[in-house]
Amino acid sequence: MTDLAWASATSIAAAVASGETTAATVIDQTLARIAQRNPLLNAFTAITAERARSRAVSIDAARAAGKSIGPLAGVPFAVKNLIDIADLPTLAGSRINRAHPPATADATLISRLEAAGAVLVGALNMGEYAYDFTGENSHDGPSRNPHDITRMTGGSSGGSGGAVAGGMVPIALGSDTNGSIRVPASFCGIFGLKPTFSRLSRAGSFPFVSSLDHLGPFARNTADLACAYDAMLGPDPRDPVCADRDAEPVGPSVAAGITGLRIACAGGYFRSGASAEVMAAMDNVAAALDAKRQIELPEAARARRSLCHHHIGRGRSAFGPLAQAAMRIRSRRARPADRRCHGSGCLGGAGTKIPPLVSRRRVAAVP
Amino acid sequence: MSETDDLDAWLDANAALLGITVAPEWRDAVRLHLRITREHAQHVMDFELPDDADPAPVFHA
Repeated sequence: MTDLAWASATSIAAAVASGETTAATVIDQTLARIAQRNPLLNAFTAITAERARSRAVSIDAARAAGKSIGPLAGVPFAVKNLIDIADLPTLAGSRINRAHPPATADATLISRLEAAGAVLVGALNMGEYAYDFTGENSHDGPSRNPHDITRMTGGSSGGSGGAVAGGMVPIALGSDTNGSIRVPASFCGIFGLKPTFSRLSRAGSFPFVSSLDHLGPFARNTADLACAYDAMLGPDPRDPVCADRDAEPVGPSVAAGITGLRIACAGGYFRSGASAEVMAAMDNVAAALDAKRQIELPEAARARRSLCHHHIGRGRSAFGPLAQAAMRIRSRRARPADRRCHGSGCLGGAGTKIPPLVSRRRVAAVP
Repeated sequence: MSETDDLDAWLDANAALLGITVAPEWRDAVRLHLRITREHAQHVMDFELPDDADPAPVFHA
């Protein structure tokens, strides 16, 4: 492993497992690299150096004692700053959250990556309350695209894209409510996974739109992406929508590539309004994937606008409460029976059981 | 009443109801946001929904 900056997560874990290097060495080098590169790339908003060093020492001690150290042993990772890190306030890119008390526990996905041997090294920059697409933050400054620092990383998980593409960590976590993993992964030329809804727990992350929020990994190759995803899979009672089904790891099938997958391009709305340059890039990818079919999703334009309203209404933008009220009026117009229904979440018919409001961040620890 | 007046009245009423202050230099951006939001809302509202339409809040895959 000559250049740790560009080493894959799986090769780092293999080197730690074989004794070619130690987790402590990997983490020291990672922290040094972050100190050198981050002033330019501005991907990190917090660096958990002490915690990371202590964790690395534990991994090396476990290996020396002949214990199992996990498939990601010694692999550094960092998380978008809307994911709870114990003892740090969860910013979600905002200024006002800085006054919040520190999180009392790590998010589920951090615990799971660490259980697989990975080492958290910090929190990552993002657009304020994820309402950007650019990766630019008014309070922490913009995250910079490692390929050209005069360009944006894309957002809202801008720091996640910059940290991975900039060779600071091989794996990062981000979130995607309306493109926030897909956009920076694309702009930064790396891989991002917005998983199927309900596969990865969101417990311990700042919520925007419950039915659309996804957490997921970033990596520089698909094997690392799969390895991180597999380590985080599985039911979680702390997130009520997390699927109650056994983990279905994808790592074993990654080497098969796209064999057996059906891939089509979205046409219609998705082919309109884009520049010739964008169309050419999309066609290039489609050709590489041998995707010849084009499908059209009905009412995509209206659905997208509806989604924007869903964000505004369910999210935390300034006029959210009033937009939400307007949405309830809209839903009652659609269902006259719902006029009998008062309070939040009135989207079901009369007699429909209304689920209680739950907090993804304040649910008591599950034994 | 022009469209701008209309949006300004909306902006002022909402800000007062929510107890927030919108600084003069923010008004153009907030007004633009409201205009786009209203246009989007109109497009969504133009879709004819039958009275028995129900959202599908449970997703399995």
